[in-house]
Amino acid sequence: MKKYLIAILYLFIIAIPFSCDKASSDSSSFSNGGNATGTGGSTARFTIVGNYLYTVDKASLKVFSIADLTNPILKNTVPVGFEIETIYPFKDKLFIGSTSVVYIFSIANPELPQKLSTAISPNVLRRCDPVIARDTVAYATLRTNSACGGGTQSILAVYDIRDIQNPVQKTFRPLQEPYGLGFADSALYVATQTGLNVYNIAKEYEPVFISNVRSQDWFYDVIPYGNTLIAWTKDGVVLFDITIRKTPVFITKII
Amino acid sequence: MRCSSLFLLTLVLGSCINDVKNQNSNANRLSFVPIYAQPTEIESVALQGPTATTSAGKIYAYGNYIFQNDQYKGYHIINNTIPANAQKVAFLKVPFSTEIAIKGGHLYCNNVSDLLVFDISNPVAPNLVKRVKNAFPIIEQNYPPVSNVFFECVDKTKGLVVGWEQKTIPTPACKR
Repeated sequence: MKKYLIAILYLFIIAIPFSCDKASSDSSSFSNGGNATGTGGSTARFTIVGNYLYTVDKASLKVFSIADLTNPILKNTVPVGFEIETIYPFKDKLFIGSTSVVYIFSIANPELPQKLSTAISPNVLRRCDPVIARDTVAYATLRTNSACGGGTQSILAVYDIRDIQNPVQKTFRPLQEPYGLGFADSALYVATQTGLNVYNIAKEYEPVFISNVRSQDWFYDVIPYGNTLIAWTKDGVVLFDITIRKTPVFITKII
Repeated sequence: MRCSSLFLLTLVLGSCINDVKNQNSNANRLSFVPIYAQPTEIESVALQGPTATTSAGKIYAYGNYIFQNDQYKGYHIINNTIPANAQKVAFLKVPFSTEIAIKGGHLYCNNVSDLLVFDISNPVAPNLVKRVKNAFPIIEQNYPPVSNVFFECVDKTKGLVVGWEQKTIPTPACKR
């Protein structure tokens, strides 16, 4: 009954695609043509920035050139740390979530990722943490249960990253069993075991809880995609209309 | 009270009473068990019709399509042109795959230790165009990815170890 597949690449938890820029750049990826890049969730271990595919395994970051789309070429393998879980790109940065800290890398030189800093939450020693970010702020969920262990209270952590060399946790919000997360404009969506939590992040360092929707569904991750929020649930995909960002409206479920 | 609880547990869990008995004789233990695959099985990539989701995995959006991983099985391809009518249109079988990214009509995913590239100029009919062998670390063949655990000893005659799952089984002989 309790079967947890631990396979090859550890699953569970982390990073959503790009950011508020994302929302606008998304419009280009709605069509299939050209060189458009798709959009992953915050729990992804693969991400594409420009002509490069970045992947994380448990301990390292790999850089593949996909300048020739049909012929990926490994350019670099960068040791990162332990128990790496997720990778999230924002502009020329990569945010890498592990079960202990968030690593921030510069990819100003795309083939030579340079570690800039690590973001640490004083509240939780060990956890699973998908992370997302935009220019001045990063959000991570720190889940303390199960395989990630440690601590008693899961939180949504908010980091000030204006000084990218020295990220500082500004505040946190306790919540139950969080997984992936994503934002669109001033709405932040957090996947939890008992529904989707919606926060107002108009004040970026002070998220205000607005609502919990579809508490009957176990959510793992979200992708804000134009006016649609694509959500991964335990049994498939749920779509919400987020034309009104802070009020997701259920559209359909695909199982 | 205890009887009715046990009865309920039996109803819900089926094998629960056996588990309890075995635990009393301290025979069962939560352990890591290897998942085996034959090389031919690992590489048996195929395009199939829409199918029910069995173990929902990561999601990825590209154009009007959503790809959802079915853990260790492949990808459901969902046409999301009109979200209210979003529906599965195909299933891309990629054994043991969990990770995906897409750019410019090309889908990248893992297949155990290999990196695969599919041409998805027609998103409903992905076509395998490249296999980069051993792009990712080889799965440890001798023991599970964590220490201080009991695990079922690896039997190499059963194939390649492609993963580990946790199961309650009679205390195995191997420990790490």
